[in-house]
Amino acid sequence: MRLEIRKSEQENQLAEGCRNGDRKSQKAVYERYSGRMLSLCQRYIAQQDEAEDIMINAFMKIFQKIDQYKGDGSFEGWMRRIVVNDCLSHLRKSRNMYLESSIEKLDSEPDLQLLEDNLEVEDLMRLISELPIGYRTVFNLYAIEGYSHKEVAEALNIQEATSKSQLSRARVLLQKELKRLEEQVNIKNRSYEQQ
Amino acid sequence: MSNNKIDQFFSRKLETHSATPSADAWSRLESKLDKKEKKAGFIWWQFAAAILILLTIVGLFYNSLQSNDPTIMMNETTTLAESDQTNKNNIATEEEKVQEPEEVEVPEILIAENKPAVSQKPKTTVSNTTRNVIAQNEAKTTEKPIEISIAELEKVVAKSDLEGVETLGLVIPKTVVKPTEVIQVASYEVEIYRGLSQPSQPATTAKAQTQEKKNAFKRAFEMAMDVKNGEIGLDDLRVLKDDLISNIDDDNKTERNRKVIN
Repeated sequence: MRLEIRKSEQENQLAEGCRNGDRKSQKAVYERYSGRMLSLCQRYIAQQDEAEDIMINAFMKIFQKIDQYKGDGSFEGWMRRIVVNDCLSHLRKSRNMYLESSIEKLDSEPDLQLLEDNLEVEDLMRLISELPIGYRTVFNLYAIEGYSHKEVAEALNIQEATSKSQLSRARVLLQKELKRLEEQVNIKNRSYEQQ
Repeated sequence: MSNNKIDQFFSRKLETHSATPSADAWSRLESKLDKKEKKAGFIWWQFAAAILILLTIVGLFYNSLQSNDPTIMMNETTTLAESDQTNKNNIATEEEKVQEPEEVEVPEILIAENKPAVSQKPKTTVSNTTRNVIAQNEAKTTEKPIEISIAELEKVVAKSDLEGVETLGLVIPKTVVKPTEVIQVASYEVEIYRGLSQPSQPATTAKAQTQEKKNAFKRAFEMAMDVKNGEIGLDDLRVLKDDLISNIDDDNKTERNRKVIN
């Protein structure tokens, strides 16, 4: 709790510095949050260099619109919304976002505990970036950013039903991939045991 | 937050994940920020320049107005101080005359109005304009009897000073307002000027000098226009005007002296 308070105090100080156009504060904000914001961009944008361009432009926007941040809610949360919106407006340029291909449900669920211990974050990032663009976007917004289906529908200008179907398809694809990864992990573990 | 296991699995792992931006990412962002600041600064600079130009234009316009105002003000005060009701009437009719010089009726009324005033007070000042108007009128309407002799009028005219100044002051704004009547008004005023400076000279020699005065007047008018355009300083015009006034004053003084001697 005390840590959280201290964190928000630091955030407010940095936000105040940025409000005054102080370059040191801007750099401090960049150094503190650029990694997380880049990771966020990479979840939405498969191309690495594109994701970084969007991140840089989003920081420009953050420093320009800093007056709009009133200090209610976390500074990071406010920045994340700007970055997500930038990613979405970039994605809107791509057509045929939403695949409606039928995917059969899996018989068994992957062992998530085993995967959590054995998988790197980069593996999960790769799984997400390999999703079709529509699935990926809805899954990111709903599962990670915590949007409701209504918010997703508004943000992407789609029907709520589309959001729901895209999400369930994304989940099935991810489960499939996780199952495959699980098998690989098991094979690896077995080979270790044999040695 | 979603209750789905897959969602939570990804969310837990990815929410706090941090990627490493390329080394030059910050410098790219910084150069963008600098550009933006420079652009903003440039816009402010342009804004300031625009305001400065606007102020200069307004200032010049205001100055040109000011350059006209004092002469009018001065004439008003001098004439008010020195003239009686007759002169006031003259000024009013004179202005009418300047605005509508082709109207012949105006001078006739002038004569009618001036007659009793002059006869009652032979020593009061009568405007030079009136004299000229009467003189002109005399030529045009010879059948009309004129009770005042020219000599008598000239005596009165010689007494009046500063009327020339007034007409000078008047002609600048009038000519600007009505450019079609410039020449008419100019010659009219120049005649007055001649009458003032050399009232005792015969008309034939005076006519030769009219052109000279006309040119001088033209110069003054051109100078005034230059001031309007902001090409020359107001000081030049003021000097020219002062010279003209001082000339008139000098002439009047010598006139008076001559009279005293006589």
